[in-house]
Amino acid sequence: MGDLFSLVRASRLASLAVVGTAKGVGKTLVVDHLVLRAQEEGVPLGLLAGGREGAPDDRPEVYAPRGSLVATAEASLRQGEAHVEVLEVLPAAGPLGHLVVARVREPGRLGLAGPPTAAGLGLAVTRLRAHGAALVLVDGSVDRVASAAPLVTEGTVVATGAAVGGGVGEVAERTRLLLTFLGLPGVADQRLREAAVRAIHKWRVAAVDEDYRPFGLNLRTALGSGGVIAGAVEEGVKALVIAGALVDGVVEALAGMSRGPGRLKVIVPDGTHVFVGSRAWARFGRAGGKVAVLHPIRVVAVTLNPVGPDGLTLDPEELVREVARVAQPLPAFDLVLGRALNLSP
Amino acid sequence: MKELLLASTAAGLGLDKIWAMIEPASPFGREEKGRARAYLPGEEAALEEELGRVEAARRAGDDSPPVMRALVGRLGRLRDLRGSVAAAVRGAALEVVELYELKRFALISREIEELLGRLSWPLPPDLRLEAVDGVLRALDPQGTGSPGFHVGDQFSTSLARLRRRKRAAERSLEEGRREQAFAVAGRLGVKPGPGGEVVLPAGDRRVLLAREESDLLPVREAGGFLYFRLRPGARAREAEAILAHLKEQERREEARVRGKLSRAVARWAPALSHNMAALGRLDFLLARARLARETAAVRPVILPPGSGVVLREARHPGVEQDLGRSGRRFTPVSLELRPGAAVLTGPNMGGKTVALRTLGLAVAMAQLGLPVPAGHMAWSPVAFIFYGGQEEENRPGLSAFAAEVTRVREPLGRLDEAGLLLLDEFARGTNPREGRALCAAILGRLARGPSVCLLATHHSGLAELVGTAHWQTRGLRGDVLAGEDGAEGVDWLYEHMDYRLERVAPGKEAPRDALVVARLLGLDEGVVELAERYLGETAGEGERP
Repeated sequence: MGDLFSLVRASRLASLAVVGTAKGVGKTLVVDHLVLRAQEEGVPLGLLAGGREGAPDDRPEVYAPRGSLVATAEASLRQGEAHVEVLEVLPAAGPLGHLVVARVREPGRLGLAGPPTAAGLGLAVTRLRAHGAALVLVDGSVDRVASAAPLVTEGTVVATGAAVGGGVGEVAERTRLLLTFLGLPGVADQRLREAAVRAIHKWRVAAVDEDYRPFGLNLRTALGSGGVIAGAVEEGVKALVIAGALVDGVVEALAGMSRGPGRLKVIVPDGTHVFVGSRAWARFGRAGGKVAVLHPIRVVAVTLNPVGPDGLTLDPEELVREVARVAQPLPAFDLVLGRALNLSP
Repeated sequence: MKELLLASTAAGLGLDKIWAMIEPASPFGREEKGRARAYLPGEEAALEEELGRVEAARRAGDDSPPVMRALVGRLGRLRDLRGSVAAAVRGAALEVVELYELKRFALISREIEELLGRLSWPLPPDLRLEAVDGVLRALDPQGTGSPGFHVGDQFSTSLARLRRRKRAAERSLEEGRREQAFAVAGRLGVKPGPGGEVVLPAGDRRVLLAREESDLLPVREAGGFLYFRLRPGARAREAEAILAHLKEQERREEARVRGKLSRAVARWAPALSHNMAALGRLDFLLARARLARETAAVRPVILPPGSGVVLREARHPGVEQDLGRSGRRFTPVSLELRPGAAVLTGPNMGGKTVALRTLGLAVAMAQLGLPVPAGHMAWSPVAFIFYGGQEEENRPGLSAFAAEVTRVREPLGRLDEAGLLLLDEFARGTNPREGRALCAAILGRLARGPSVCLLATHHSGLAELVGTAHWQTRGLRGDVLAGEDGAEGVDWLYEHMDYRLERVAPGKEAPRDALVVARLLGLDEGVVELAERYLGETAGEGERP
């Protein structure tokens, strides 16, 4: 089995998001590793990070090699060590101002402060590609996985590790849940998919009836409206379409419906919109609930870091085994030990 | 706009929405729009010139639409760089992004100039751009024309030399590390990871070797594994020190070059500032020309003071749009008013309000230097426009009548100025006898003044009473009046209403359509018949039929 970079290249991805199950699971380690390998292979990289509103402090810092392309806030360029050629200034107004697309002329460490929205990130990826990046890496922001949205990147690497807290079991469980959400299947029924696309353009929360007709449920968001939604979804409804976030309250209310959610399909834009705890998710699944997405996400690998932020280390052998088990058929990479485990046959 | 339009007139006429349709593409154009104001009497020459400019700009656009589109596209790319220019003048060293923006501005300026040259448009002097080639020569000394910018080696030989040395130091550091890693790998049989770490299981026989290895530094021991990191060797340490020193020198030299380039920018500051202002004027002008084209507008003709207003086939784009949405067409308004007062009558839903608003809008647009949506317009510019409309907001504690009276105080206090007063069913909120008397009194006061006043009303006989001109909307077409009974609804009314205006000769009273309209709208027949009886009995009591 080759290394992570070779796998990414073999997958023919033009853009890759690195998202984490928790803060400190080693996303930067993954990005640094990929940057180093890309440099060795002479692959021109684009570097970008998902921003978070009001939190400029935890912007990741990477080593930007000569010739790579970056998209970051003007202030980061000023403070960074690298010297760049400014190629373009995107009017993406975030808390940090304009986003500058630049080519690294003299290498060095550089803070990546990116746009907070999927649309802003998507535009930045497109522009980095246009200026010659063969592979754009998007360092996903802490506790947000929007960078993995298919609108933004073609593929995703999930970073996990001891920083999740608890033991190997907890890390594996958290990883399994995130992989489940990111790996949610697309809507197979083409007519249903078309109806859901129409519904999502028009309403925040909608339903599709047996005749594939979408209708709005007159709710601004699905947050805290679980009971209302379950009540509105009577017999004869084929699918519930949620444009925003799918949360615990909704799946719990659906799991508690008298007829059960069995024949009802819940549709969200993509897996980054699911924010459900493992217990609620399990209950929903037992009741026969199904969630599908309009835009499936392609997860290519899981990386793990046995070392936690306090230097607390989990048994690397056990961790790689357990994570590889939940990640099947995806391979799990321990970048520190330089090993990979793929349990798929 | 403020001085010309009295309280809530801009909103009442629907001018706000038309004004919002003017969309400059650049920050300079938007600022120019924010500064725009109306022309008043005494400024006819300037207004004439402005109208001529908008017309010329529009003609240029009509002649070469692709060039005009390209021009607007370039204007849309401009960003406000006045802060950077001012900083350069103050002597600050501009940042790389600022220098990039300035280079880009100079390139776009050049493109705009080139595009303007392709138009058959004798450009007014204040729209002409000054050459900023000096900025380009400074920021792009080799004249590559590439849009990107960085402080490259071409700006300084010492920067080039520093960077060469830096690259050599980087290579030497890299080689040192690789050599060391290779040596360690050879001795221990384990290859260091990308960060220079070596990880060994605690029980591994190589741990002992690793502990004795001078090139390795033990980092931590956890989970049954021992972590080591490469200890930089003498060669690597030396290269690192040199590299740090060179990077610091590079940083300083780069800042010096930016300072030098910023001084070059400062020398061109007057030309850059002029161009930003000129591009703002150009952008706002083109935005107005686009509005003129979108609304099929004509250049209005300025008449000597005291000539009144002539309007032919005028349209109200806002109302026209609303009608278009429900598949109906706007009936253009034509009328002619001399200074003094005039009365406008007509049935309910007959188009009186639309006529008043169309007139007010046309005059307001003309004095803002905009072509007007009409077949023809000629007028003497006015000192103020007042529209007292029906849908004004109710102020708390004030009845509709009180609010109306409060608002009309200002225009009535300016009797010796030539204004435009549009009064829509003035005093409708009070008792008809006194309301009629008030209307007559206002008409009487304005009848021989310099202002143009048009008062829409349901009161009959006012024009004759005061001796003013009288206009009416034609109302329901005569042929449909007979034989129609029962509820036909609003749509039927729309279809059979003739919205055109016509002069009423003295003594020819307008038809009374209120009861007909009520019947067509389905009001209980018993009520309508009773009303007709009452109308017969009260004939001659103050309000003649």
